[in-house]
Amino acid sequence: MPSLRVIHPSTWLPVEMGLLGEKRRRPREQALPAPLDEARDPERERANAAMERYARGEDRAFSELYDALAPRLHHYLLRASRDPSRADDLLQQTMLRIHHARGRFIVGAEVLPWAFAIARRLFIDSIRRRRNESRTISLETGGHEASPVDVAADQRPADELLDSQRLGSAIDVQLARLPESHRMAFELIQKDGLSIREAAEVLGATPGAVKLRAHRAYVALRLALGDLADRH
Amino acid sequence: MLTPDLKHRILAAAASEASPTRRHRVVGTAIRAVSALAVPLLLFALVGGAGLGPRPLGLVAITALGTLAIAAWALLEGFGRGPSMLGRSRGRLLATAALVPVAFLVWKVIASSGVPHMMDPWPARPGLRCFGVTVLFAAWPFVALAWERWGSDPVHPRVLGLALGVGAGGGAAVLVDLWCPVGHVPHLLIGHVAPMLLLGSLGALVGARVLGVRLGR
Repeated sequence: MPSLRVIHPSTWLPVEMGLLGEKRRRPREQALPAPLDEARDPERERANAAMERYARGEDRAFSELYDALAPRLHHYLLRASRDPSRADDLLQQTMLRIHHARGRFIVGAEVLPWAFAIARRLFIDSIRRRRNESRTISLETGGHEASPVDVAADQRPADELLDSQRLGSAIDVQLARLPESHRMAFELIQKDGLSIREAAEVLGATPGAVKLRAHRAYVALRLALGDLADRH
Repeated sequence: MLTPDLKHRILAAAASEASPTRRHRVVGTAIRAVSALAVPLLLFALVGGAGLGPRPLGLVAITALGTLAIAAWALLEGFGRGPSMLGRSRGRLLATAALVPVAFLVWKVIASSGVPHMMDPWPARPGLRCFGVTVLFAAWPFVALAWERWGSDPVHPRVLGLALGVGAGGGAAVLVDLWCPVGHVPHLLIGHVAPMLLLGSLGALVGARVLGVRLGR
């Protein structure tokens, strides 16, 4: 059973909210909360190493690559599509694109932003294809609910956990109201653990633009969730 | 939620579809690279090779070296991916596509303006023949470059197509510059620069379909 490496809102919200409070005091000096350190992320290193071995022809490395990439990609696709079966299909398509392109993998390149960019492109493509079909996105059943595994693994007191989940839900609602470009930048950095540079690569924008978009999303969230954030 | 069944399904699908490893791709890449050089050179020989006309040899050498450098830069920027699997940024590709035709024209004008009569009009050669020859020389390299990057760009395939088209046109412009003695600016615009723009536009047009990552491919 692969380890679940899903970044649930309850894991990043307290940090984020702490910085939100700080922002209120020093609005001009606010910086985005730091994403995961790309150089020290062991799963990222594991994915890079597995991809490198797979590109060289070691077929067994694909399973390891899947274990390193799939939880993040699936979480991203689930969040984007809000449809578990569609997220499964898109994950399969993404992994197969990686499989077919293994011979093109550049020595020393980062596999994570590439995988996210493929997943994002396939998701956009799927939306275009379904544009004329009935809308299957359900706003009620999003992908943000904590899985039984997440909840069971969480050792915090029940009240704190409930508050955190309420806050996570409130943030999801607010995020859904943001312009897509802002939301995507924010989520790739804060939820998926990409660096600003990598998120910029995935989105095909400059790092400065992505930083600005994420910051604007961040400010909008802070304004919308001020009271909830204070309680945290 | 991820299930073991999904993993098994994906691993089985991957196992059932062959994919070339890095070593397997080397042969195909080498064939495409060599043919992208050889086919235009063969066509260049078929249309008569270098034509000095009234141009001094030094001018031909200088303009050819300059255009060669510009073409090399264009191909390096357009086709090269740097250290990232996502390739060059959109801005960098756009800048390359915009600057290459301008650099080519400016270099040609600067080099020709130093030699008397090199920019005189040639009424019999408005540039249509050079236009056709440039497109002819660039066609296979363009296809080879696009083939090499087929279905690989998930971020900005149209811009990549634009840069590849301009790069292929820039490469062809080196040979056409050796072949054509005309330095008149309208001729250069029609016969030498316009084909780059045409190929770039074609690349942008088919980029999403040919170079982009798409569902159902």
